[in-house]
Amino acid sequence: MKTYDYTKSRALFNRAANVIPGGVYGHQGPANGCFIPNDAFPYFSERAKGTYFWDADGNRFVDYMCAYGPNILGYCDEEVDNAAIEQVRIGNCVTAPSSKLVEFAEVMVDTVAMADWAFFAKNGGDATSLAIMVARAATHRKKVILVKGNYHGVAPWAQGLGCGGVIEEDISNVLYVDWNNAEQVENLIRQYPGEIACFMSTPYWHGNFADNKLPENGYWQKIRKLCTENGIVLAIDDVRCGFRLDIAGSDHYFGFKADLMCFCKAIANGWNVSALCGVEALKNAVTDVFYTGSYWLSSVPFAAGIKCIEKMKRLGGTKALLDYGKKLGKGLVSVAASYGYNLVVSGAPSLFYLRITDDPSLTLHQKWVAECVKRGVYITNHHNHFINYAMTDEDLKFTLEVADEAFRVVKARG
Amino acid sequence: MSDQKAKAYINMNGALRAMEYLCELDSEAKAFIKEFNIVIQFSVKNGPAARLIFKDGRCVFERGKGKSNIKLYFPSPGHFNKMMDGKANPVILKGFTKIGFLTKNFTYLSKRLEYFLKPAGESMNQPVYKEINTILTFLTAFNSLAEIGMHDPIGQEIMRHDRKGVFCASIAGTGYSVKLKMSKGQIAPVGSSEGAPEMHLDFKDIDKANDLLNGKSDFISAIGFGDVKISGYMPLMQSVELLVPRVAMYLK
Repeated sequence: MKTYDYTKSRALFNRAANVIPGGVYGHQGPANGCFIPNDAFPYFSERAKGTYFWDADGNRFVDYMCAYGPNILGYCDEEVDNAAIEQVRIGNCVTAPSSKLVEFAEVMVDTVAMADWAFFAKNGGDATSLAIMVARAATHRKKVILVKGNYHGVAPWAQGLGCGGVIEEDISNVLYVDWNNAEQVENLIRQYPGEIACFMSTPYWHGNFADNKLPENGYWQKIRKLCTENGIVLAIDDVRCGFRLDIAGSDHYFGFKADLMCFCKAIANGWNVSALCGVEALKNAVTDVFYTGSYWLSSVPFAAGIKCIEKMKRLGGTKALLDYGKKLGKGLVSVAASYGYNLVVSGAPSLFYLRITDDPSLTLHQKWVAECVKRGVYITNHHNHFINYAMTDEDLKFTLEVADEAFRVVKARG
Repeated sequence: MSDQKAKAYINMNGALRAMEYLCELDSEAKAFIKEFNIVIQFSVKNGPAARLIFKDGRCVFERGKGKSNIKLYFPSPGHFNKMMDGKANPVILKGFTKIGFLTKNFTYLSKRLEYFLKPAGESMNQPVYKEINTILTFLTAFNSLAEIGMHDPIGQEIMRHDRKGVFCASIAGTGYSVKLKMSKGQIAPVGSSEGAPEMHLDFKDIDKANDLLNGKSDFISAIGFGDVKISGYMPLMQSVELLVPRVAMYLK
């Protein structure tokens, strides 16, 4: 198989570094994105369609990162884009919001099992920060319990001490527990009686650099009970998992009901909107929080989101994503084993995480990932992946062929 | 905000330690110490201790206390830090007859070290100077990471994430590297007997390392350009990338 050249990508990066801090910053850049080695990865895309993107050098990738989640139906889905374009022609960011705001809120309430209301913003971090503020407004308490290793965005409260720009005061009311450890939550509640406003977590543990972990039997039911009995708002950050486990919400998938749910990524197939959904009991508290943004009530992403959710329902919900993820995971494990390697696939199949266990330093894993990317299968080293509805059996076959050759190359090099 | 105790550890085990490397890298310093046979003990109350051993044409830095010809005492970390800034004198507990070594020979070496660590004018245009500046700055900075992780309050908080493994930073083509071991919330320098490191951070060459270490470029774009290569057990990098910015705060 041919391996890719990234000359134009690199030339663009040279230009970028002159005018943009870091060249390409954040999770989509080579540093925070863990492009190891950096010369195996493209830095810029030129176009995208369905399950593929083409980089600045014209190389095609089957994309298992899906823009880190937003691509759920396939890039440039015609139905969603047509709905958005139609709305563009009518009006987008206008002084008074359009009826699309109401329609989209109604769709969210009808779709997400726990939702009695919806509040819209732009990024997942807007939704998680709002959830914390709503919990504090509702309970008049300060402290928040988070799970170690979870990611809730980049607001100072969600980062750690030592991170640039974060000070002790930003995180002085944030407490941490281990995942799947309800006893630690109980201990904190006992240690800080009447002080905890919110317990926030992703629906399962999908942090970076380690195998992802589903909740143990009864974990969420215990947490729900602890929160209910102690007046603590239970907030689920469904930004990453949302619409990939269960269209009705990941809390519904795991058999409990959250008080607040945060959505972004897959909600509108890449059109820019996020949502906080909540129970009736917290509706007034939200109105006590002043939280707004210039673009938050723009109607084009709403139109896209309405169509996106409608189409996901029409496609039968998340079964296709979960089934594809299972087939892919099984195939990859089998290919790895044929070369004597142990590849672990963890987390939900529609958001699978990969790790070759044979080298604890992860260098072997990084080498294999690099060889896959250079041959047109875009996977990443230490982040979970994403399945979208546009993936086909042909893509699966290609993926396994590339994985096979990548293992062969890595094995030969020793 | 910098912490005086942490600064003292960094000054001792990062900056003062650089004397050893100076006497390897700089032909003038190497020649200067050729005949020396003397050991200086530095002791800071409630702080670090170390010795500089001048013998057999070498300068060797050793942590802790031991036999010495000259004993320099500092009643507080702040006092030691002032001495390193040239604003205070040590208390001499032993070696009064060797004061001349301190005021002349050691002072010369200190100024030589300062010359290389604080570039002025066009000195960076000279390849030999640039190489020595880069290697000394690299070693001082990365040796300081351990002190920040162990003694700086925020560094200690960063280390509470309890990542395990050996991290190695190097500048390609120079033979110089720093290996740090993380385990149970601790971080400490280790030698080559520790075994293969789990994580690597490699500067492409002297020029790229110099740009980064002197603040002319940033790590994010350097990784994008391939001027810094990172590989291996990335959880260690999560700690390193938080400790590194604190070096500049202490070693302005």
